[in-house]
Amino acid sequence: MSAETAAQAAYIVAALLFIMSLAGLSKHETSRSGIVFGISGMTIALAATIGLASRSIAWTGIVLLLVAMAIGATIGLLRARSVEMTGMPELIAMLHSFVGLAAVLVGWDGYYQVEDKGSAQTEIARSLLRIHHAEVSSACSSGR
Amino acid sequence: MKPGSVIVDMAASNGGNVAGSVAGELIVTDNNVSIIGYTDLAGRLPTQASQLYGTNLVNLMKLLTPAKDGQLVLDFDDVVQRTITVVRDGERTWPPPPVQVSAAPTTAPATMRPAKVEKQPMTSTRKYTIVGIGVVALFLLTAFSPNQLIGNFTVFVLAIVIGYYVIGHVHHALHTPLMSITNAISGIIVVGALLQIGHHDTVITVLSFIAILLASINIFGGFAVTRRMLSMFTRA
Repeated sequence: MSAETAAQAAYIVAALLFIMSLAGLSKHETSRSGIVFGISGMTIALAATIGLASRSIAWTGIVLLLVAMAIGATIGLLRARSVEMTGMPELIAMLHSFVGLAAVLVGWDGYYQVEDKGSAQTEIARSLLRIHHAEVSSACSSGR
Repeated sequence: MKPGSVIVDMAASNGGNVAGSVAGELIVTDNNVSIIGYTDLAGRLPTQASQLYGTNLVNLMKLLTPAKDGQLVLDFDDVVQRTITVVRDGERTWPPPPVQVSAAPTTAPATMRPAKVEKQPMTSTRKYTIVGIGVVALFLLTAFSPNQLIGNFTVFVLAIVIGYYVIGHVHHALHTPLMSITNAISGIIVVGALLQIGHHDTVITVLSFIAILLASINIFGGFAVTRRMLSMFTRA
């Protein structure tokens, strides 16, 4: 078991937990366990990714990563607690457009990384990127 | 209070519940708020009721005789005239059709109905044609795509099927929490940013820092909001 295979296994487990989370949310009786599944799936996926990333990046990167997550978590939890129930749909739409924006940024980053390398690998990543951008723009427009 | 507000002080004869009220008088404050301090409210009631009813009747007569010549003209397209007509030309017109209001509950079934009617005439040949076109399109798309994409396509197709069956029969009250948790899970895009941060290029690091921040807001906020919504369903 290498770090890569461990991360892949964690992703599959996380995906399964996400599916169970969505399935749980379709009934009142199981909705609570649905959230628990969702949160644990996200925790596993994040832990696996941070573990994978920590092997290749410098400690400054890890610090930046943790700081960004801490700030985001604080803002998110505060907003979730303070929002009025009637403002809920707007908050969810806003959060959704944040995901869209994050996806745009990730795509942008990927473009920079690929441009540096060049060669045949670039072609595949570009075609993926175009598909990705289409998804991103649709996510953004539906988020608004 | 807002200008134009009206306070009826029913206890004005015993001193009143409102600071500015005077028994038996109508006071208008500087802020244009009217304070009614009449002590004979019960005595005024019959007059008021007669006035309201009389106005109602006059308006009905105006509606029924649009030419103002005493000739009764019934317009069945008018909701009011249709709903108060019980018999017309020896034919029973009661009960009237339900009144169409422009509120959401009635428009929703109205839009649902045509969709249902359209679904039925779909013949089996048409259904097979549509499925066939879809299958061929998916086949060509996958066959001509680069190798690396094929794995992604497999995941994509499986995700569509799973999503359809998992979310297919959701309880109506749970639509919003489900939307919210789906949104929280979509914050998994943070994984992409996590793997990009810390590389030597400053631009990449800055961009992925922002991406991680935004996605974290979504993940933590999304799960917290969902939990808060579900806590409303618990029985006390």
